[in-house]
Amino acid sequence: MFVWVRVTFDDRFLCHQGVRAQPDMTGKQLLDTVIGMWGLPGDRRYRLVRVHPAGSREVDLERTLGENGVRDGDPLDIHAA
Amino acid sequence: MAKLTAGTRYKALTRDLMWDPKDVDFKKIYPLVEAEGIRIKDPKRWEDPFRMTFNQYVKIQAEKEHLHHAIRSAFEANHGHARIVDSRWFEGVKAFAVAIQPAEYSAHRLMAYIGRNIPIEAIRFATFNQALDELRHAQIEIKHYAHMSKYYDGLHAYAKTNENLWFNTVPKSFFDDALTAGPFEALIAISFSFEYVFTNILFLPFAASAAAVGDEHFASVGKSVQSDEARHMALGMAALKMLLEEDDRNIPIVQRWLDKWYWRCYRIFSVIATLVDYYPRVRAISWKRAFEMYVEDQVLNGLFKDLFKYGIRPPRNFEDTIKEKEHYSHATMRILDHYKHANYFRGFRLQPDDYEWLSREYPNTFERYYAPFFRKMDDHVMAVAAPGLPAVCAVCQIPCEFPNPDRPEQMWTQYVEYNGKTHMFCSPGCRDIFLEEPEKYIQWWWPAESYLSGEFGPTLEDMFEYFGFTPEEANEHYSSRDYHRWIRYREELGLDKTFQVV
Repeated sequence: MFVWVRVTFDDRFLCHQGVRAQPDMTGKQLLDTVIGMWGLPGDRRYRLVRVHPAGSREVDLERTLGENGVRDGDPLDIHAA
Repeated sequence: MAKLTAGTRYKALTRDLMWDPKDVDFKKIYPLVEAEGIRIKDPKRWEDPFRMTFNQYVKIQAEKEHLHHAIRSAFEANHGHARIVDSRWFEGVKAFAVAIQPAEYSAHRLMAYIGRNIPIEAIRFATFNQALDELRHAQIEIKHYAHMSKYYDGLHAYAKTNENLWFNTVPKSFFDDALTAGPFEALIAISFSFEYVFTNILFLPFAASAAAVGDEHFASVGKSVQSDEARHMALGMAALKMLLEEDDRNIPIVQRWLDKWYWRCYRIFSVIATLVDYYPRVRAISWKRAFEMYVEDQVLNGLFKDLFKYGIRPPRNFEDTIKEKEHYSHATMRILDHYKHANYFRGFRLQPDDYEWLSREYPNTFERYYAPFFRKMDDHVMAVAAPGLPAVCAVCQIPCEFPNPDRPEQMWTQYVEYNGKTHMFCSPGCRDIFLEEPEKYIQWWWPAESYLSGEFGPTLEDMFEYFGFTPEEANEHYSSRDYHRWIRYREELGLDKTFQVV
């Protein structure tokens, strides 16, 4: 599975970028993956939000992507908390 | 016996050349003729607008070919590539190579498909000629790239790049969409929407820019191709009128096709906007002014007023294209620079004269919304590189990086839930096309998914091998080996010298 992730406060991101993921990884694990991959400041706190046409929904970082209803190909936004 | 007039002679050579089927069902021979709901009552009354017989066609085209290849030979023999004003132009020609040439060949196939499936002699003759035209265009363009590849990067595994590179999903999706439409829709898609509405803006400004920067060969390609396009445009206009006048029930069907293909054609022309505004160091005209002249004035404010009497209105989303004219080339060049590290044609650092020209031509948008992005490259050419592989529009396949022209600081990306999946679109125009035929567009394949899954190998080198070029052939032009080779070539010829007059 992969998801599309956009870092909303980083101007390298004009749109969402593809990231490999697994349904059983937690929101925090996904966040840690992209923090490392894209060199985001490690001392800041972030929110992960699933973008959906019916409305955006906060991803619970302690629960898995599957439990959060995140599916293959879903767009996600990272916001500074 | 009286001598035949030109009209009767043409008719004798092009009409009633075959029989009406007696032993098999007409619909077995033409299985698609009723599939789209189009009704044709009296097809024999329609004429091929150019009324050319084959010998006339061959005579005219042979003259064009002789003239063009004489120019090409002189350009090649006299180091024409070294005489242009700035080698970055060739990065734009590379873009044209892989975006437009396969489109020409696809148009060749499309015209054969239309001629095979529409049982109207006028359409059959015109599409036969156009099918040959498109093949000619593909081949004279390939000749230019073959010559360029002796000196410049990016084109040495042309067929592989054409087949496998992410960038090419854009023209592929467009032409495969047309090839899987019915024959009448394909006729409106290519002959009217593409040829009549947009090809002037493709070949005239680009050919003028080619001449302005000194690429005499490509200027000749543009002029030779456009001389055929005039005939293709006439077919598009004749086909549209035929469908509208044959039966009133055709009108809503044609309107739906115009709505779709106007936007599809407009979006595929986004790269052309950069070839007009960015790649030539000497510009003939801006995209904005060319769009106003060829599309707004001639088509939207001209032709569509005439079509009102049939009950046809301007295409859905046409107002969005007018709003985007201030942004289009900048937003597209930003996309190309954002992904230049994985493309076979390079972006480039804008020069002071570029900033001056773009600011003057686009006083409301360039400095405010786009110049800061390009200025980041002044210190480091990779400063604006994207950190990964982008989400692309599920219809046009271009990265979802077009700003909302009403709020340019925000992206225009649209989201639609369909069949258990969230689909992304670059704009309301592409979203609306998806909503009309979602089952067609959910089949889209975007190679990023295969790259991410390691389908083409585990390393970056594997991915470039799949593309047909190396990382050294990508990135930024003025820091590239192409630019330095071009400088050295000019020095060898003495073209770097300047002469004073006292």
